Amino acid sequence: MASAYNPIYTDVPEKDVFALHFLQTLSNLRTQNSFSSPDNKTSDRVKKIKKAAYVSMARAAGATNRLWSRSLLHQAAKRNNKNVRFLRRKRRVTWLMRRRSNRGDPIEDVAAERLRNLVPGGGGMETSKLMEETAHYIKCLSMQVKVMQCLVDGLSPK
Amino acid sequence: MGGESNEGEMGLNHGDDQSGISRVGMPLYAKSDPFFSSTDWDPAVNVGGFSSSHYPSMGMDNPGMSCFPHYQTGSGSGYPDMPASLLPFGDCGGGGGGHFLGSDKKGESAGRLVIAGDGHQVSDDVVLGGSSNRKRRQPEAESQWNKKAVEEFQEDPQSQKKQKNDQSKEKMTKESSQSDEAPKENYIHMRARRGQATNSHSLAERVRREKISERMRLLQELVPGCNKITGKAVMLDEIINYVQSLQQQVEFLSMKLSTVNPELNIDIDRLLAKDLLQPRDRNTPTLGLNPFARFQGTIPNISTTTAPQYNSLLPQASNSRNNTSCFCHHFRFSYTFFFF
Repeated sequence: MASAYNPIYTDVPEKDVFALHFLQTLSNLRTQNSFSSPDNKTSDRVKKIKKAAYVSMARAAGATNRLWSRSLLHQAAKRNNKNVRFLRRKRRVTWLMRRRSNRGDPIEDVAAERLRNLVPGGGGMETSKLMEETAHYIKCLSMQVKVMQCLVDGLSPK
Repeated sequence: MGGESNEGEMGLNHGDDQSGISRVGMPLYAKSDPFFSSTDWDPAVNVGGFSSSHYPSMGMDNPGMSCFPHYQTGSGSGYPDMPASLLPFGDCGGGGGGHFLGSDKKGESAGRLVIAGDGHQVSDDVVLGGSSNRKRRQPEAESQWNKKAVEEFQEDPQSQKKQKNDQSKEKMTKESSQSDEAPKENYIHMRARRGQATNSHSLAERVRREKISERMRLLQELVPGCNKITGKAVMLDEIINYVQSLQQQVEFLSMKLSTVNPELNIDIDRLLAKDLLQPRDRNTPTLGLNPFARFQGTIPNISTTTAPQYNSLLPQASNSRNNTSCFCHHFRFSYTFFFF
């Protein structure tokens, strides 16, 4: 980073933390009987692996510290019909909606909308907060990509 | 700012006779202002509740000038010294009783200059020191103030500052001077710049815009190849594309992972022996298969930077202590894997 003192806190853990979480999640995935059975389709497995990747990334990056990770885990838990254990902060929806309706910068609003669709949990955030979350999300995504790439490289037959 | 208001308040508690002196202090700025004579401020407009009995004595036509003799006999130092002596608020005791009053109240008055809050102080500004270049002097003094008062910041409600700026700006003519020093330690405190609209909405808007641009700079460093791009729209598009490509990479790699090893038998021995978690030569596999040609440049870079960090994790590292630690690390894995 350019500045030594960065007031916007976007540090991510090292790569091995991500690797650890990912491998743990993959091993959990293997405990499921439906995974190893030969009759399941590849696309399902791909989806499960992908979900595992995202969930492990969210956990590795500090599960409840960031909004995107929280909402990602929440989505994942909801899909599994698990009980949501961590508390969600009360969203100050009215204040946010009022602010967002006031701001009329068309360039940035359009792009911000697209970004909100991409980044998980971006629906309720102000633009500046959204951009912080995006920065952290980008860092974590790139870390996860590195881990997965290494894994694929290691596992692929030479 | 909050700190200055504290000190100003403290000064006010000292006594009431200082009120006269402090008002004398106002025209400090006026003296150094070449445009003073050309100001067309209306001093009597905003005398809100302030003891206006003092004002006529000051001489409305040229209030600043008439007060100068008072001050100069007291301090003896010229106005050029003013900013310097304003600097150390605590050190303001200039020699002598008269000096004491003058110099001490210099501090108070300067502090009071920037105090927002009630109509008293605002009208104070307006009546006595409403020179057009008061704004120019203020930021210099303020920036020095802020260095002293930064620890004593309270959260001044932003409305106070805006209200002060509103009223003071209405009275001042807009000169084109350079006062672009908007001291902001805390992003809540925002000073309206010269020549810009000062209603509360635009101030908040400006704060927000600056926050957003700061974060854009942060993102610009993250996304590769965005150093030359200026402009929010293009930058945001780049960021969106980058996020999308990263997500697609994750999906692609997960697909590859599922095909490479259908049962996910991540054999622990292989993991240890084959430097599983170390990036191999990344160029060949990725270039062919990576559909996102634009970001190829990043991947080799990543591998070179992270490879050394990864070396320490693996048992092939030279340090035996590392070996044992990652063996313990991996033992946990192997324990879980044994069940399958």
